[in-house]
Amino acid sequence: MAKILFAAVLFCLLTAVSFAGKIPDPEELGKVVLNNTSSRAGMAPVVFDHWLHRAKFTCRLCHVDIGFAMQRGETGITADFNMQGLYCGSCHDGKREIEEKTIFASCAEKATGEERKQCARCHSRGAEGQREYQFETFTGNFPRLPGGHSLDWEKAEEEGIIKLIDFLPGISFHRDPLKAQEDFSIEVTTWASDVIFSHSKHAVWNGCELCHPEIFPSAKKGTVQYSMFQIMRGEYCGACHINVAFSIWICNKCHTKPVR
Amino acid sequence: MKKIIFFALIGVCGLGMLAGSMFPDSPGTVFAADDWKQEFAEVCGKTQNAMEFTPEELRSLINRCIRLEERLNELNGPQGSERKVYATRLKMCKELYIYTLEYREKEK
Amino acid sequence: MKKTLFLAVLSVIVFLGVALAETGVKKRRPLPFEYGRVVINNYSEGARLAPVVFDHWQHRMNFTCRVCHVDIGFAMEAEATDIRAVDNMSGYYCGTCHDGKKAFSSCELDFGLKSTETCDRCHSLGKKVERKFDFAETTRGLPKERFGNGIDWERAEDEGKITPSDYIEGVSIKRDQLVVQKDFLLDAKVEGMPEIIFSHKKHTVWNGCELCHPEIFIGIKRGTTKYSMVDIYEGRFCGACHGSVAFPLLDCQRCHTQKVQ
Repeated sequence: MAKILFAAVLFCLLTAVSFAGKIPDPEELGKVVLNNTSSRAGMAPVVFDHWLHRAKFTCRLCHVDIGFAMQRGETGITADFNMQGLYCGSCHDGKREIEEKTIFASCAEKATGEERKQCARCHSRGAEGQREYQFETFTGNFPRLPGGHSLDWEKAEEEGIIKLIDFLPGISFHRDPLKAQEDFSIEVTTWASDVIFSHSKHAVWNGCELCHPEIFPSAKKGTVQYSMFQIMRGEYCGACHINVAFSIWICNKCHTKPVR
Repeated sequence: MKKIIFFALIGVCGLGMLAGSMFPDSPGTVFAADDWKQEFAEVCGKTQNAMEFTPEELRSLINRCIRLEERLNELNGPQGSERKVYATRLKMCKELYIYTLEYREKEK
Repeated sequence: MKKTLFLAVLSVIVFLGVALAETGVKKRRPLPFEYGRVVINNYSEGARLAPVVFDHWQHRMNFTCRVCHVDIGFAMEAEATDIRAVDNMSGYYCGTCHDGKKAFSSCELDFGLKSTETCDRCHSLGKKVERKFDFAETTRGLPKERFGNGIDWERAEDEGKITPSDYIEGVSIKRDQLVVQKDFLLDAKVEGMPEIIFSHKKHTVWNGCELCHPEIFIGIKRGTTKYSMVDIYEGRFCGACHGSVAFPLLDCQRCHTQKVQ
C-alpha cells in the first residue's frame, strides 16, 4: 500500500515537473524561423517574434486579411511578394503609417552595406540581440497568468494596456460582424474535466474565417472528432495553442469545468 | 381468277410490310452532312426558355436531342474531337430539358 | 534497439501526420493572381511538355462562364475534359479561339525548339515563364473585394469596366433573352447565421441554365436536395464554383446576407 502511494506521489511530482518545464518562456513563445529562400539568397533566415505584432494587431488581420498560413514554411513568402505589397509587404512598404509611425520597407532588389542593416532587422537568425523593441521593457507592465510566467494577453486588452488594430485600409474590407455563437462545453472522454469553449473570446481576435472551415471544418459541434494527440501535433486547437497563444501545457485554462 | 389476284395482292402487301420492317424506325428527320448542326442550334438554342415550354414541347425537344445523339454516334475518325465536344453540349441540353420536364410534371 | 526503432517509427508517423494534415491546420491561401488556377496534365507529360497552367482570371474578364463551360464544352473539374493537342488543332476546346486568328495558336504536332516560346505560354508548370498579361497591371482599375482574386467581378461588370462576351461566332447559338427565375431564401442550419438570398439573376447572367442544372443542382424543387456546408466545402453544389474560381467560401457574408429577424 505504501509503495503504491509513494509511486503515485512520485508520478504526480514528475508529471508536474515535466509539465512545468514544457511551458515555453514567454519571450520564446511564438518565435517562428522562416527560411524559404533566405539562405539561398545569402541572407540569414528570418526570425519573426509574434509578441510585438500580437500587441498591435488582431490575429485576424494577418491570418485572414493578409493571408499568412499557420504552419512553418507553408506561406512561401519571398522578397518578390514583399516588394509587390503582399504578405510582410502589406505594411512593411516604407509608406504605411501605423500609430503615426512609418513602417520600414521589407526587401529590395539590391541593398548596399548600410541598407543591409535594415535587412538584418528581420533576417536576424544568429544575431537576435539587436532588436528595436526589447521584450522585457515592452511587456514589463503586462499582466501574467497564474504562475507569474506567461503573459495574459486577454487581461492586457481588458485593462487597456494594448489596443489591437483590426483593420488596414487597402487590405481589409468592412463586413457586418456575424453573431458570435454561444459558449459550449466539450465533453472529454478521459479523466480531465470538460472544456468550456468560448466563441466570443476567440472571435474577438480571430473573426470566423481564421478557424472556419480550414482548422475546424464543420459548423456543428461534434461533427469533427479529435483528441489531445492531434492537438499536440498542431492540429485544431493546437494550430494556435502550441506555438503562439497560451501554451497547451496550462491545462486548467481550458479544462475549467469542475469534474462531476 | 379473282381469288388469285386477291391473294397475290395480299402477298405483295405482306412482302412490302416485311421489307418495311427490315428498315430501322424512321427517325422523322434524316440529317444530311452537316445539317445536324442546324438542328442542334435549333433545339439547344432554346434552353434559356426551358421553363416556359409545355410538357409536350419539352418531350418533343428531348426526342429531337435523342435523334441528334444517334447522328453524333456516326461521327468518328478525325472528327472525333467534334463528336466529343458536341456530345457534351448535347448532353447538357437534353438533361436540362429532362430536368425541366420533371419539374413540370411534379408541379401538377 | 527495439525501443529506438519504435520511437523512430512513431516519429515518422507523427511527422507525416503533421505534414499531411488536411483539416485542423491553416494552409497557404492562393494569392490573388493564383486563385482560379487549374493544372491540366492529361497528356502533357506524356508528350514531354510541362503540364498546362490555366489561370481563370484572364479569361474571366473577357468571357462569361457559359461560353467556355457550355458552348465550348469544358468540364468543371481539372483534367475531366480530356483535351488533346489534336482537339485544339481541329478548332475545339482551347483551339476554338487559340487558332492563330482570334488568339495565339495552340498546339501543333510538329513542335520543337522553334515553338517553345508559344508552347510555354500554356505548358508552364515549374517553368519561369513571364506572362504576357500581368495580374496587377491588368486589374488595376477594377473594384476590389475580399479574398479570391481580390476583385469584385460583379461590380466591375456593372460599372462597365469589364464586358464579358457571351457569344463566339461559329460556336455559340444565337439565343433569345434569358427568362430569369426568381430569387429565393435559403435557411442556414446553424442558429444565428444570417440566411442566404440566392439570386438566380446574378448567376444566370454568366452561366445560363445548363451549367448548373441538372449536373450541379439536381433537385427539382428547392429543398429536395439536402446539403450542408460540409458538402459545399468538399466541392459539391455551391462549392463547384465557389471553392476554386468564383468568390471563395471563406467570405461567409457574401452569401449569408439576410439577418434572421
